[in-house]
Formats: sequence, C-alpha cells, structure tokens
Amino acid sequence: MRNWRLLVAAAALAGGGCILASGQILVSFGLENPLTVTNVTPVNRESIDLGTNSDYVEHKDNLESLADVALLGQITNNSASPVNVEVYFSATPTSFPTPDEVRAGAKKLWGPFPLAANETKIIRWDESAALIDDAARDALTAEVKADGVFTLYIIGTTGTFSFTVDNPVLVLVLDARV
Amino acid sequence: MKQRGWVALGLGLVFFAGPAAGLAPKIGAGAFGGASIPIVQDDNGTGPIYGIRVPVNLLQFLTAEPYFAHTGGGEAEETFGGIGYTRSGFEINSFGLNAAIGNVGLAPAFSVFPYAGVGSYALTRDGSDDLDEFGFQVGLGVAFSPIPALAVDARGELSVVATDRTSRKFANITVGLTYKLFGVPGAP
Repeated sequence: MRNWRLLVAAAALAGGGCILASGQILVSFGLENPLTVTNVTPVNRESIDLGTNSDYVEHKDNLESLADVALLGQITNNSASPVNVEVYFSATPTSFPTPDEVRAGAKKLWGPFPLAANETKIIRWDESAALIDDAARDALTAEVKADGVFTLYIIGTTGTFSFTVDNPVLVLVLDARV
Repeated sequence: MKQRGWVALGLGLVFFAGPAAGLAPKIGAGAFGGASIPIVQDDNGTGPIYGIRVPVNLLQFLTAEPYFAHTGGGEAEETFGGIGYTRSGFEINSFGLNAAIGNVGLAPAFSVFPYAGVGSYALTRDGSDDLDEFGFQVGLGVAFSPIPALAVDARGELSVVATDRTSRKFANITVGLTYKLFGVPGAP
C-alpha cells in the first residue's frame, strides 16, 4: 500500500513538473515586404516554412499548442473603393490562381479587416488576434506541430481590389514545454 | 466547473469544520496589493494584483486562508518592422484557499510563514478565448503586528495556472494589511 502511495505522489510530482517547465514563446515570421495584393490572377500567395525560424526550430519538438496568432503590419487600400481583407490558409503547398478558388480550396484564417477607400491603418495586435478563425487556428496548430510548411493567401472580398501591406508579420505564440 | 466545486468544498471546511470540532479559531480580514510578473510569457506583461483574504488560524501552527484576487493584465510590447505593437495582458480573477504554516500575523510575534494553496482562475483578454482553469500557488511570507489589532505582511509567491499540458506562471509580490476580527489578544 505504501509503495502505491509513493508511486501516486511521484506521478503527481512528475505531472506538475511537466506543466511547470513550460512557457509561451513568441515567434515572428516576416512576409514579403512590401506585400502588394491585387485581384489580378494569379492571386498573391505566401509560402511559409517555419523551419527557417530559429525560435520555432528550438521549440518545435516541445510544442503543445498555439497560445496566440496574429497578422501585423501597416496596410493601405490603394483603391477608391472600400475593401475587406481576408487571409486564407492551406496546410499543404498549393497555388490557387483566383480568389474564388482560394475561398473554395483553403480555410479562412483571418479577417475580415475593413479598410475605407484609400485608407492606411496599422493592424493592432489585439484586433488582429480577435480576427483569427477558431477552426482554422486548430488546423494551423496541427500544421505548426507537424512540419511548419504551409501557404497563406491574402485577398480582398470585393471583385476588384488593390492594397499594400508594409512590414507584414505573422506572429505565433507557441505554448511549449521548455 | 468541477475545480470550482473542490475549491468551494475547501472553503466550506475552513468555516464549518473548525467550530464543529469545538475549536475557537482566530479570524482576520485583510486586503493586499502588489505586482504580478509573468514568467516565460512573451505575450503577457507585468500588472497589478490586489484582493482580499480571510485568515482563519485553526491551530497554533496552521492557518487556512480563503482569498479572492484580481490581476490586471499588463501589456506585452514588441517591435516588428520598426512598428511598435502592444498585446493586452490577461485579466485574471481567482479565488481559492491557502494553507500556511504559522499564524500569518494573527499572533503578536513577528513570523515567517511558508504557504501553499489551490484556486480557480478565470483568464480573459481581447482576442483570446476565455480560460477557466485550476491552479496552485506556493509562497513565503513575513508578518508582524505594529498595533495589536492589525497585522502587516509581505509575501512572494509562485502562482501556476494549469492550461492542459502547459501552464501560465506568475511571480506575485504583495503587501497586505489584516485586521484581527476576534479570537486574538488585543482585538476588539
């Protein structure tokens, strides 16, 4: 009986130690800068390989989940019409040529982020994190825990659109054992 | 909700088990405040923490202490591409029960007391899912009574909020004042 109790105590300590040795690690991944997006096909896509990021590589094997996801940068609507910006995510390398095919074949990850005609805005971190789609975040988490190679598509919701993102950054906060 | 039930059970035992066993506990009521410093959390900043405690000195060497605490999330600041960004920190409401070895200032003498406890933690912030989690804390405090009816304490503690297989950890540094309600020499 005494040995059984010791085993339970040891297991509890081991479990506690596991959650103690963890943290929330920020990884930022810069996208093409400046990133100019128009409705002209093929649509803009960003091939991401997190394996090129040393912070990600350091913590990848101990990654449990994503604590936070955001897309940041300064975004300018080059059009005289308002537009909503959206980002789609494909877990595998893909090359959908048109916005309609992106919407049909990829998962919506972020948005809509509204821009008035010719408006320039800095995407605030809190606001950006709130625009992440829960289901897509789960899929992104699975991909980040796998090989970290995926594709992002940035498009507008209107038929014609043109906008530029300066210093675009994908920000991931890894919930990882350390 | 399950963890809240356990915490509520612990609180009930503090208030009813002692009197039922014929003990005359010393009881105080206090407030505290200080700083809560996130540990290995790149998306959270240092913020204020404050709350109330009700120490119940059941035995000479043991004090049970229900508490409620609020932590105001501090902002995390980062610069990307020359642009400064801030991420709001978590607002945290927690309640629970600490057990301290000693009297936490309810007796007149200067005291040093280790303590540990469990609590229910509710974490919220803009753009994140709300978290309602179980946690625990361990710490060390010192206390003394400048006047008979009042105790002053200072504490440092590690607070751990379990989030599935990881955790969010905080170093909390607080000072508190406890008014001795009854059962204490010098109390009204």
